[in-house]
Amino acid sequence: MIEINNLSIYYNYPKQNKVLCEEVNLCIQKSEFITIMGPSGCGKTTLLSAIAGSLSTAFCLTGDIQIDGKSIVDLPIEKRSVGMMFQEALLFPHMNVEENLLFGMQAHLSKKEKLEQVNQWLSIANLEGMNQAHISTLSGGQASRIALLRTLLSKPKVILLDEPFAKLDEHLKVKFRRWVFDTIKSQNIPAIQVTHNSQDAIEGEVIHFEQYQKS
Amino acid sequence: MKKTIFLFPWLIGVIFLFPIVAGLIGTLIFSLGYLPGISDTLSNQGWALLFEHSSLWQSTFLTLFIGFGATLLAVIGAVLACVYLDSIRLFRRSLFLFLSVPHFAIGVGLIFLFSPTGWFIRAIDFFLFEISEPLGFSLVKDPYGLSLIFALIIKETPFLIMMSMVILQQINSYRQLQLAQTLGYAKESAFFNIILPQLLPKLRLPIFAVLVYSLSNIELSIIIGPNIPQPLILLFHYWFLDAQTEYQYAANAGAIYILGITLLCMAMWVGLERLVIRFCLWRSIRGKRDSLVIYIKPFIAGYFYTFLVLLILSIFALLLWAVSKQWFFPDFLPQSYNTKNLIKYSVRLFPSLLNTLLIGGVATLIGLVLVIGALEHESFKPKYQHTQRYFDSPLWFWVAYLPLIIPSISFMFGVYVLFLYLDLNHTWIGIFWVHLLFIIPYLFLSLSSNYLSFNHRYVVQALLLSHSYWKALFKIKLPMLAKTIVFAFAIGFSVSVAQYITTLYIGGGRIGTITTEVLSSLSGSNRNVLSIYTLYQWILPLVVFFIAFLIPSYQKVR
Repeated sequence: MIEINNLSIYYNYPKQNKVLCEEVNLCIQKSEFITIMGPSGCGKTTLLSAIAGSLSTAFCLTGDIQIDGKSIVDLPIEKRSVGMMFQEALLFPHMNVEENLLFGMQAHLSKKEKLEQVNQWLSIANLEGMNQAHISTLSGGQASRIALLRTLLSKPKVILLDEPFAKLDEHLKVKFRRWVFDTIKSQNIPAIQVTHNSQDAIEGEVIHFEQYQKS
Repeated sequence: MKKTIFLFPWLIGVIFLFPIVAGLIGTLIFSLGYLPGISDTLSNQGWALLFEHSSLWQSTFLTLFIGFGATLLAVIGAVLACVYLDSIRLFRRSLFLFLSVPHFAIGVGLIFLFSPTGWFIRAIDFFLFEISEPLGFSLVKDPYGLSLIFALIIKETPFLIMMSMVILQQINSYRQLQLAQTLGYAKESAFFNIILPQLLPKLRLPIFAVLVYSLSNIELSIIIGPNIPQPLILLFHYWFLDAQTEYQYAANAGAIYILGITLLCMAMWVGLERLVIRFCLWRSIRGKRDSLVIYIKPFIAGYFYTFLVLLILSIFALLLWAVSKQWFFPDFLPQSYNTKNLIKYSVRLFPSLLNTLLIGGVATLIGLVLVIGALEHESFKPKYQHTQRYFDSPLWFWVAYLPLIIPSISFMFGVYVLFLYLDLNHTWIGIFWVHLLFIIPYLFLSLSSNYLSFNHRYVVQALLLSHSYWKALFKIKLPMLAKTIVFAFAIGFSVSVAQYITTLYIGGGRIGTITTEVLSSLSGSNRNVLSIYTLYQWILPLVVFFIAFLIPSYQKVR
């Protein structure tokens, strides 16, 4: 479960003090999916960055973010157990598919266990036998599916989706979107999606960020 | 541990500021007649000797002509190359050949090609008409320094092209040009109206580096520069080697004088740059869509491929001289060959080769660690994560660039005396330290823009997945930047290999490198030995560049 309490984010760089998010309160239970919608620049991606811990020092925030009852605001990005998907798949180009998937897996697992999980997930995503495929040979849809698998295999406690369907073509988007929502739900992980495309908001509660902040 | 990276900029600051500031102050004090243990009183003897020297003004004008002329022509060449990058694809792929070749080797190559008994004259005899004796004039070592300018252009234009290509990629020049062309501008006109005003300010530092080198290089001036009058740097260099103390004072005064000349040239360049930018902006406001530059397009490829041909011919000339047993004038090829000398001098050179590898390898590795640490610290700053303003270098960047914009002779003698006090002269630590002064600025130049423009989202993704900063750094970011890093290593290594005055002063002849051997082989006038030594001086950086060339690029920029 992820809980956001009275979260406000300010932008301080270079010498401004602009409010990006004010008094945000959210509570997302396990397997719950919410979509945050709003126009560009309303602060929805900044909110995700605040949860992930990737906000730069140009920003400062007040309030609290808790995952499973523990505050994460003072934790560095790598200690937050948050998974994130961006518009680009961001697969590491010097690694093949298998190496990309193994990268995020927990260290205590044996190599055999890791490979078993990798193969199992590849078959779920209809990508069997692509373990050794080079990243540059993947289609956009394949790369996006592998990006989600990589995130899931790292066992995050919450998944953040920053317009992950924006760069896919319409036909692919419809199929992939459904697959992503179903797969995340099946893992019992809370997820937050931000988008400015209303067609992406087909799952769970939808929050219109601008109105939400003003209210 | 991640927090400790804030130390790197400070470390670089200490490594640089301490010897350079002490060196500059030392040189200034010595120029005023104070030399510890020799003279404790101040005097203007050195300055008087400098300004009374009969050829000072001639040497000054010659130095200005060579330094500013070579830089200006190299910049013009680099800009034209950027306009017509598509026409010089092979040349672009051969850039690493030019970057790896030491200045000195270019000088030796041109001597072998264009001296009165060089290959050019021999080719005329062989293919055109008979020439029974060497020409009475030389195409190299001319009194106006034209051959020196030519050598500098061959070496520096590719460096400026490489730096320009990095900048063009960052400002997304391709898209901007496309857009301007859709508005009816010719490609050339679009480049000069839109791209050049963005390119020149960002290229200023590399241009300063070229300017400083052109004004104050010793190795190339010795081999191919004019003798009467001499460029200032040679005049002062020989004064430094003079045993009489008054010439030591004069040499230090000269080192300060050449710093003044350099600053004047930099100011001139900035003025010229502003004029050019204003002209470009004036042109774009007028909406002029064509450009006269289009008329020189047919000559561009020929201009750059001439460099390539000369470089390849130089390699062949060096190879032939290295294995020739007898090669009399005017024969086009040697009468007989043997590898006896090649083997003999290779064995003799072995300790110097090992020293060169050790100094270049270790100093460049230390430099890389420091520079990557400092850039990693810098990359956490908001401006690199949220804007594209990675050209606004912080103050400590400029500290690291000091050795590029101050002629080495202006602080090296001071550094020498400082190292005497610290007991570092003739030691490996002293040599590593002084080489680092010149390696680190080039590492910054070649690494910083690519490192700081690395797509930060990959780092975020790696951090979220790996739960470890170090794993994200060493398994994702650095491997993705591997080509840039190895390329920077190659540049740093080649800078170290080419160091002459630094190794000579601090090594004091006890620690010799291939470059100090090459320069000392000049006095023997044996072309066989000179070519073997020059080839070795070239091969070492060439191999490192070749490795960098083979590494695939995974660089992802914003």
